[in-house]
Amino acid sequence: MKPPAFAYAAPETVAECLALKAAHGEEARFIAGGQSLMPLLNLRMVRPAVVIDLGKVRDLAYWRREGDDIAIGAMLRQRRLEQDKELATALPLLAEAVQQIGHPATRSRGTIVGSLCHADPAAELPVCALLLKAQLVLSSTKGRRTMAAEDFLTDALSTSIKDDELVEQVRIQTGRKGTGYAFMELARRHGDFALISVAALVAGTAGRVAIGGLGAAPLAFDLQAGDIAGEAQRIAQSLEPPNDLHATADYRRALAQTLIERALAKAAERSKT
Amino acid sequence: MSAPQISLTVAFDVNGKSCARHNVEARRTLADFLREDMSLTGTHLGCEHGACGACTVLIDGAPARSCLTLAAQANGTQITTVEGLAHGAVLHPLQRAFKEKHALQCGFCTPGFLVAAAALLSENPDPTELQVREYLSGNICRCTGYQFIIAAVLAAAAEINGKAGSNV
Amino acid sequence: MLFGTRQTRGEDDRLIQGKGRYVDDIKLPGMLHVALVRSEAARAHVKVDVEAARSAPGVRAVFVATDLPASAKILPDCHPNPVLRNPRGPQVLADGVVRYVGEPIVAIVAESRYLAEDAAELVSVEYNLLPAVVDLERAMSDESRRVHEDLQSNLAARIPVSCGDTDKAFADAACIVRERLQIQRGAGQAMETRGIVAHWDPHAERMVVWNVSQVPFVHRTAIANALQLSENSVQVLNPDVGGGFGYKGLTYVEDLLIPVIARQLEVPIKWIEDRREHLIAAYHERTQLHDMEIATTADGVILGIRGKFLCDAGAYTPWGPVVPLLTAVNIPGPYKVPNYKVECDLVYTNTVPIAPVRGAGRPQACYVSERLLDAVARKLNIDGAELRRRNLIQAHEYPYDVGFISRDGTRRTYDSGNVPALLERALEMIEYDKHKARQKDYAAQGRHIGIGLACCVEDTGLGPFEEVGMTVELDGSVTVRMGTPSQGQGQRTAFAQIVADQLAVPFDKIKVLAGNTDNVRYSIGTFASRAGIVTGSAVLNASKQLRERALKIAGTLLQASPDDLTLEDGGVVRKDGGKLGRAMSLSDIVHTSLGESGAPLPLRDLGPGMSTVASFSPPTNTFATGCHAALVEVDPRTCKVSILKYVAVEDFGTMINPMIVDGQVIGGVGLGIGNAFLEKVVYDDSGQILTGTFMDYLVATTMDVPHVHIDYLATPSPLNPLGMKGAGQGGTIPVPAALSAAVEDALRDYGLRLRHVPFSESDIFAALQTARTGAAA
Repeated sequence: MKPPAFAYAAPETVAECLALKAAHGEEARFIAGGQSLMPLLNLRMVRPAVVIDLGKVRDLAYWRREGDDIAIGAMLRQRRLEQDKELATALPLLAEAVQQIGHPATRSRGTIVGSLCHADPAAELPVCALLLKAQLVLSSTKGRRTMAAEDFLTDALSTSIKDDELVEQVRIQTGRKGTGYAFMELARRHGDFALISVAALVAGTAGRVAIGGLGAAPLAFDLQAGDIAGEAQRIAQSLEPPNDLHATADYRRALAQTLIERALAKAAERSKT
Repeated sequence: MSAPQISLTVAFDVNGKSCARHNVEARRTLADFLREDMSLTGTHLGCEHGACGACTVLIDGAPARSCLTLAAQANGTQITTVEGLAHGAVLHPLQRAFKEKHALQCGFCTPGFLVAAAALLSENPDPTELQVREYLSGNICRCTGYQFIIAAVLAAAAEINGKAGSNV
Repeated sequence: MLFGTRQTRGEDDRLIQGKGRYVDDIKLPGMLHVALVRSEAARAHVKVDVEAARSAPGVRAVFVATDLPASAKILPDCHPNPVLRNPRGPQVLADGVVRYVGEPIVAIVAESRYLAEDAAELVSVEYNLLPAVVDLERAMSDESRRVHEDLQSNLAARIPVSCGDTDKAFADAACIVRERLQIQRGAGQAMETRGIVAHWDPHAERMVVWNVSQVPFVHRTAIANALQLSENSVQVLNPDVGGGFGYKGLTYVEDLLIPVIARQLEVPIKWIEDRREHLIAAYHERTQLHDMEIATTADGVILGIRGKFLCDAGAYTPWGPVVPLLTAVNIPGPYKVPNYKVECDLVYTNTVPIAPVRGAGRPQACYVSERLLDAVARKLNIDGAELRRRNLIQAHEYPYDVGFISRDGTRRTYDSGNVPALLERALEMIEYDKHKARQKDYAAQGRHIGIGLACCVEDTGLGPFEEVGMTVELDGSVTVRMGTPSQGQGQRTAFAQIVADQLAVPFDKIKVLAGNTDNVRYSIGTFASRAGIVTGSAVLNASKQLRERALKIAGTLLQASPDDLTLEDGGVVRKDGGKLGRAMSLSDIVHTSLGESGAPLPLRDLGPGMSTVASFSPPTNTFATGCHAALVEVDPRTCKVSILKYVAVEDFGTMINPMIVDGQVIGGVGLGIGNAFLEKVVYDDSGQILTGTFMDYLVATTMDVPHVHIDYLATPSPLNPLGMKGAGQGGTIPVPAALSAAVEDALRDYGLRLRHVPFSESDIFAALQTARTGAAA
């Protein structure tokens, strides 16, 4: 299980990254933390001609406040959500979800943006991004565009990114007073990809959930009624989760109903404090 | 250095010593580099897809899977492997506790556990049992059932904190 | 006395500093690396084109089946058994036909593993696909699909075991329960995969092989035969080995292939199996489907057990019928089963061959008998603990004649035991009565808490023998040489504890050498919980011989009766505490008895030095026993199971080092928990393996294995001088049964029935739906 041969570049500026990507297109892959790309390389399931390392680029490992949002750079590691109290307070949902992502050794390498770009259907961060209507900033030599998570996450392992683009930043709304957040998932083992994951927010009578583990892009639903149990059932019934090695579709649907109910209840409770 | 290269020079500090190697293939993993090129065979390869933790090393003090890291990515960093945990002849408290508490059997996963646990204790010198379990949940051991590993980490933490022995 | 103490391990100082030497750490000058091209089809005729690979960068040779000598084309049957009517050995490299995904077809030899893998991708294999045999029942019914086309059916062996008259027992029974019980495929998955370094030494004219074998002498013979060398021209060495779990105790095709390549190229060759290969091509175990029934009186006293089961052999039979045979003889367990009849069919399928993995057929046996008892308890409304009390063999009934012939050809007789006491202790530790009484209160609080019990026996300490060489060196240190290598069990420590007591030598002056076929003359190997007993007893015998000899030499030199002398602190003292004429250490004894260079030997009657070779041959198996109890809580909505408490009470007879035994038990429980909830090798209908990574084949982590509460009650074995019983597998065997019972008990109000392991949250959910539909119907 050794990676196939490729050429490697470690530019120091975003502009150089974009120039390289423009030159090599789909033949080139960015590597940030590498926690998704490296297993695929070792298993020879991907074979890029060029790997562009974002790790040496100055000024990508940042987070900062921009209005009501937190802007997160492409090299900000997932562990920062645990270790940086201010960031964790600003993004309570992500801070709760990050505990479920892999393990400390993968989180200290893996990046927040990298997880969104890999778009694993069972990953945690895309679910959070969808719930919070995060905005992704995609850059190329031709310019920059901003896209909502809903439009960015198109399917399992698929996004709207173009061959010459880099997701340079993601912007996520900060936690608001009077809004409660909760993240819940069930995985076969702690740290595994979720069988079903649910992110929820409740603000007064309004509520929203996003669900991962569906074998495709995560889905989000705004609550239509105040009856949590009824809403959980309605939403769960509409899901078409996959049958796979680890769980049946029927189980996943039932699990989604339970987790939606519980996550909403928890978020509602938190919204009051 | 932005033109893509098939092989390159890799230079970083390992266990406090600087090292440089030329003509390292870009695809070479940090694990293979440490084991083959640096002869630091204490870092073990258990799965080569980031699922077992045997190859855990510290990169700038943070735990990382060396099978999921290119040697090239580690350029300019400080690496600590299991060989670097002891200070000369003085073993790390974790190393002593692993022996005292029978936290290893075949020893193959042990370097990864020791390095990960060292990272835990440097971040959180007084962890609870659950925190130890969570932190080490990405390291697989097939021999011990983990109980004595957890006990050893708690005992080492107690020693570091100057507490009398742990009762776990 | 060090025997029986929690001596810390002599092995550890190196291993905690990263100074272990495992096979992948061995580097030889000029060494080349092998990558294997493995079958991507479960059943196919294949044509191979390796021309592009031959000319790839760094490639030094490419081997296909036709490049192998006739003596190295098929793996020999290392465990012949008369019930194996149609043995078929694995092909070292597939020759025109493949029979499972992962079967090796081509070996690439290159300057690095990276280059070897690059070249392997250039090999073109043309598959002419044939329908695969995957499903066990279908394999026996659909005669058109045969794994081996030269055979009439897929039946490899038919194994009958019986005693008494089951027909009569069932005719007389007040209660009969039938169950279909399935154990799915699992794997050993040591943290170190397999690996081999082979090197033809032209100076010694020997093939030197480092590998991860539990049975280096078996491998030496197999390699010698494959290379058509004498056994004295082959040396097998085991460096540190990263876990064995039984399946490293078998011979694999690579064990022959790599030495063959090294011999042909006369270059050191390394092959390190990667985890993907390990998951798809190292031997699996456990798949069995049992249709069993139990007959009891109205009081739940067992009258008989009978039935049939199918065991999945995989595509070949490298280790004969051992696994199902062990199930067949272990189903009665520690219970009195006067009438018993079981028949097992060992069936070929297009999957990886099976071979013993820790537990080896016994977890299946325990699962069958304990699940049947739980079903009887439910039907007769008898408490599960009480039902077991009524059926366990009582302490005074040992030695107990089970009534049929065992795996080793002797009449199966439990040598000693007291399982009723183990059960009572386990009930006490799990607080059985308290939790049973509170179950209604828990339910009222919305908590679903249950308890499961399982008792087991394990046949341990198999013959025929082990041999130990022991030498007191000139400096008074002791060297112990043996043929049974360690895969992490701490043998160097445990055996040194025996020696230390007998020869009064400090622990750290004793060096135990294992894992080198030059160490002793003959050996069998480390498996089936045998090394502690068989090698340990040989160590005791050798130590006693040297002790006796030391006293005899000292007596002669001191003109005292050896009976008045004893050993203390590395030297000879008078038993009565009186003064000796002069101080005499073991070192003095060795020096004196070896004499001076060029002079006649001083003690001509006694011969030179302090060295001996001793062996031990157990008359038959000794039986370890155990009782496990699990307290679990289940969330009926998510079906997530939490283990609140786990208790293991074991009888391993006398223990050399309880700390090491604790480690064996807890580690065993960890595997058992995997077998109950997580570990499942999955093939699809076409024979593709779906669990090729550690993201799909799930093993238990720190978050899955709870604190295990252990206690021991010892009934020493009369079959070996130290009274030991094997402790390697007892931790694993009862776990799936105990956890299945606990989860069923927790959801008893929902009518949950679990009839297979492992079971996931999703499986519990499905079983609950079945129970609901059944109740509605």
